[in-house]
Amino acid sequence: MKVNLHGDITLYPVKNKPPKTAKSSLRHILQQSETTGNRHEVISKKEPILMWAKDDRTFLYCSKDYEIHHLGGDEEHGVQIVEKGTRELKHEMEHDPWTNELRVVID
Amino acid sequence: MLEKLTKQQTKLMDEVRDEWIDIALHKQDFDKEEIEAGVKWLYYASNLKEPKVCIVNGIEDFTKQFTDSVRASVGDSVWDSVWASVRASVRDSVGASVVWTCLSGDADFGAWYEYWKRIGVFQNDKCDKYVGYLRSGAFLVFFFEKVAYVMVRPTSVKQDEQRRLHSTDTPAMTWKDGTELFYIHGVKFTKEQFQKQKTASISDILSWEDIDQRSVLLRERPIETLLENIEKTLIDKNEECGGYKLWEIDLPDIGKARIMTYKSWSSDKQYVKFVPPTSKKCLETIASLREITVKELKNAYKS
Repeated sequence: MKVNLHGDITLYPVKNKPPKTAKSSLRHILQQSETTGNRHEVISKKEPILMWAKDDRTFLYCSKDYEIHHLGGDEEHGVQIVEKGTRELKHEMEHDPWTNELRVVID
Repeated sequence: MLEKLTKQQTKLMDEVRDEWIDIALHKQDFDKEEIEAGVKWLYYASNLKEPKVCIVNGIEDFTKQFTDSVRASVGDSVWDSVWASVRASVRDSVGASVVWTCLSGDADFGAWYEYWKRIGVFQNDKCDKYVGYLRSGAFLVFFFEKVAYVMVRPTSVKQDEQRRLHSTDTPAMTWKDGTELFYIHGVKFTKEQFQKQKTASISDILSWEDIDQRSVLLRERPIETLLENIEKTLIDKNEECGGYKLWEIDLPDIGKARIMTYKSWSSDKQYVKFVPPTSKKCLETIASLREITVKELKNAYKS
């Protein structure tokens, strides 16, 4: 399965199985900037996408291929196809020179 | 059947486009009677009871009028104790009530319809009525069961050459009620962020929290210009995956630090980010910050 890099979002293939408590929806917002309103979201036309968190990690599962979109701004990251299966949602990091720590890139 | 447009018909497309951009964004008058009649007609056509129509002069005026109407039906103690949830319910209600039958949502329909009408291809009485309502100046509308709020056009709209909301020294949009919205090349800023960017130092810009805002600030003050007058060393350069440069820089208020400059994979937007001071290679650093391997990074770029 391929890795999806969509702006600062990474959907990384893993083998975790979804728990029964996973949130099921045809659409999930993965990240949204409070200021600009720009957001990344996943959309499935038929099969629901399951989303759950475990040990501070977030996962997605869908039995069919689905899409990831970037909405707002120039929508420059376009639309990508995400292959079916389980993905871990990862956020790109950057260094904060003021605190000398890593922080999540806000896009 | 029309198979080919004449030169005049082709030229008319631009004229109608510009006319409707002007109607939507740059005219400031409004026809109260036409707006009220148009809104009531839309409710009637949707089999809804005739609403009360309230004209509002901007976002702040709308928020006040709407909040006052909610406030009037809630007692003091309830208001105080559930303020947070009232706000949430207001937000939810308003979000669900924004409709596209107004200039901000449907000016493109006005241009599209009037073009066909003017070249004699299509005419429809209901479309004429609807376009007349759009022309009356209903910029943004919020429709509820008993009341319809209609926001009139902004008093000022500034755009860049690509028609994105844009101004670096004044609000990009203002309304009669004092509402101000700040955008730079289409990216929204809060008022505080907008004021800060005016006097931002190189360190402030390079470490700006939101990377989209950082990127548009770099359009105004390109990275090459920012780096011109500071001590810097190129640590690594890699043309793969769109091209990256890893720099060590010495900033007055931060000291020695490392940054990566690069372009977006899907546009010409310039980006910059601070990377850990131990970074030595471009692709290894980018992959590490994404928790993937260099091979996975290259494969993702190819696909």
